[in-house]
Amino acid sequence: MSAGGGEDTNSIGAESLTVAYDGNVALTDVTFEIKHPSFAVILGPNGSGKTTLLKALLGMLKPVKGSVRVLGYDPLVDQEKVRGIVGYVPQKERVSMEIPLEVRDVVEMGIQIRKGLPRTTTTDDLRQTATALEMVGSRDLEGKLINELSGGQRQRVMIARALASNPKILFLDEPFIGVDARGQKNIIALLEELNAEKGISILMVVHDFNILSEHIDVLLLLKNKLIAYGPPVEALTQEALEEAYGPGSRVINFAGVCYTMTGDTHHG
Amino acid sequence: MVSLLEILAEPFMIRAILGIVFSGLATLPVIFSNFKGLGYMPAEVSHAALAGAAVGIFLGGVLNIGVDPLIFALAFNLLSTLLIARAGEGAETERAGVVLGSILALSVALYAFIKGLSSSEMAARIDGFLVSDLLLLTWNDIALLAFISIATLFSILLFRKEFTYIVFDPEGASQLGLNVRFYTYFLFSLIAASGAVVARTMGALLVHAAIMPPAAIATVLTKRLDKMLIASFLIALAFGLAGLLISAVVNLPSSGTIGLLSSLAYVLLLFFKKKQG
Repeated sequence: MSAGGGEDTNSIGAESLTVAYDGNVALTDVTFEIKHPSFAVILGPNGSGKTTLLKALLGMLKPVKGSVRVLGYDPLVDQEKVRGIVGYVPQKERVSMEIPLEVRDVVEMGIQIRKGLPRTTTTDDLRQTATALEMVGSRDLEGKLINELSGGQRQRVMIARALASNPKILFLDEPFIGVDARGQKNIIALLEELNAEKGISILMVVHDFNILSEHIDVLLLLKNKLIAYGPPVEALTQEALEEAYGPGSRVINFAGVCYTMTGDTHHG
Repeated sequence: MVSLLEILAEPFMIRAILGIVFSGLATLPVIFSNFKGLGYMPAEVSHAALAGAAVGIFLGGVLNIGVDPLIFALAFNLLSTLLIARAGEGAETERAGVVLGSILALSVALYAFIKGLSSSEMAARIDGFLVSDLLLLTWNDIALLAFISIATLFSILLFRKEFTYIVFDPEGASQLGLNVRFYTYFLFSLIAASGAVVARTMGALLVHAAIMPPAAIATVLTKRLDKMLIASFLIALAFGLAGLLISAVVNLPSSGTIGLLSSLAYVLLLFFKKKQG
């Protein structure tokens, strides 16, 4: 681990990061560095600060101490630069599926907002929208209403929105909630392809690590502080898992791959 | 015998029809507030409009200032919705609810207090904002209502995408660089303006009955947002005109008849939808 990793223009990292909400500390003294491009996961029990870390990296939360760096940029200072290189897929609960939007409108949102006023749709925008949907294998859904799609299809569309502006990094917050097993596999395959073939870093908050254990390079284990980070086989020790999830949790190594038994469930 | 066309050509009838058009335009922001889970907002904050109108009428009578009470109603509505928006920041719905409740209580208390201090002529004018009559609108009312309604219409036309984005995914929109706070306050201001418009045309008591059913019916009839906005306006217009005619024929208050007609239509639509499965 490089202590001054935040200065690296080819990494994502934090240095002594401490974040608090209304006086309650959510994250304390978090320092890490992930090389770009990586396929990384932030893991931890409910309320362990996973989403907080993601939001700090996005510049949506101001640390009370320390700093973050995204490919060399401080998201609080270089907001526009970071927006230009990061695509974000928020948690499902944060998105209102009540409003009837066509899939193409959702994806176009990723282009239109960055353009500024007036947000008129050009043929270039339509082409970019089609390309982003093509990348996630959902071109056929273009004219459909997002609230009529399955959980997996919706997530692919949200990923397409994040990809519409050609980001270098994708941040995803609990992308598998409400997605069936087949949909989860498809999304993992898509993210793996984006990481391996397009060189896009993937950093996602997940609740169930096991579905990703074979696929990721880096794991960050949190419980309001960084308990461990690195390749899963190194970071995910029995002690680290117990520190995060308490006694009774187990790390299982099988064929060189780590799995966890934590008995933890997602509470939004 | 006086023909229907002759009645429709009467200035009071033209003003009433224009009032219906403006009330129809007031349903546009309601579509967005419904999807934001704030469908109750326009009706609830119209109590503030009532208190504002009471203050305006009282000050106008006592101090002889020539400011239209609708301006006061609009100002009170704006202040209330912006306070609620501020309180609700960060998904603090409980805090927003407390602020809303306090505003309601204050508004009703202020309305009753001022009405108690007012002359009978002023008290009658104040109650004109509680249950209004389209047939009593003046050209001054129409000019001010037109200004507010056209500004609302253009705001919706120009910033429809932005309002859609902040309703759909405020967090994602913020990350993409949209000033979510500004557009949320902007949308709340339009909701406030709509509440004030309908408080003047139909009365504060009937804001909910006048603007919620057309928006709700439009939501049931079509699944496309643009069509929904158009349908909501046209439905409000159709119920408004039908209600106005029925009220003229059977001698009922126009705004109450319109509200009743809209609500009845919505209940019937839900009934038939349920029957169809």
